Amino acid sequence: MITITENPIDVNKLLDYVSDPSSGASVLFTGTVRDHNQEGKVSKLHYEVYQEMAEKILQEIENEINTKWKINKFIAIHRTGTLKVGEISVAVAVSSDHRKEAFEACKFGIDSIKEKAPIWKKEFTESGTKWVEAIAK
Amino acid sequence: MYKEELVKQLLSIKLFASLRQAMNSDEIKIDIDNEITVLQMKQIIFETFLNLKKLNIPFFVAVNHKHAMDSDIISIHDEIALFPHVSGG
Repeated sequence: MITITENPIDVNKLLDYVSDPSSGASVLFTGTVRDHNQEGKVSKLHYEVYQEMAEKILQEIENEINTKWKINKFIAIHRTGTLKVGEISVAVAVSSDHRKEAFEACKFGIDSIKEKAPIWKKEFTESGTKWVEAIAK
Repeated sequence: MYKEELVKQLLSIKLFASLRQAMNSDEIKIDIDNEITVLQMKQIIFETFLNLKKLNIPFFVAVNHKHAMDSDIISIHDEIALFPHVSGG
């Protein structure tokens, strides 16, 4: 399951969602708003999402995970709007019979979201605002 | 005998992040003749919106929510979006 939300992310709900009697392992990743970048202090971040395309890309990522690993449940949530330092901007949770698959699928999930999902962040710093636009590898 | 006339049509293009901010709008429109390629669309955009060209931000084109290539054919019935490299997470 994948979601884009304007509301705070409750990680307990994610863990409840992936918990499953057949699963021996659950892995949770959270990305949080950091108080600095390479140049100095960051007070908040603003996330912008191309909603319709993001939903499709996230669904493709979930489908790819299901073909690559034997996992039991998967959930990914990304925030949109303005977030303060310390708030969770993205969370991925995966459960599987054993830990190896859950760790690998969770890493692939967050890496793919960062690389492919049409989501952008703007940093609010002491010197003003700046869109973060990663350089294509 | 009828002379076939080229009917100009308005193609809407969604903008995101720094591109949206630079244009102060979440959408731009260009005149096109029926179908064009993505490359032709980029050329028209740069001729029409000089400030977008001056920005010199590398951007991607999505057609109907999929990354497009310069050779792809588009019309006003497609959903077109321009955006810079993603930075979610």
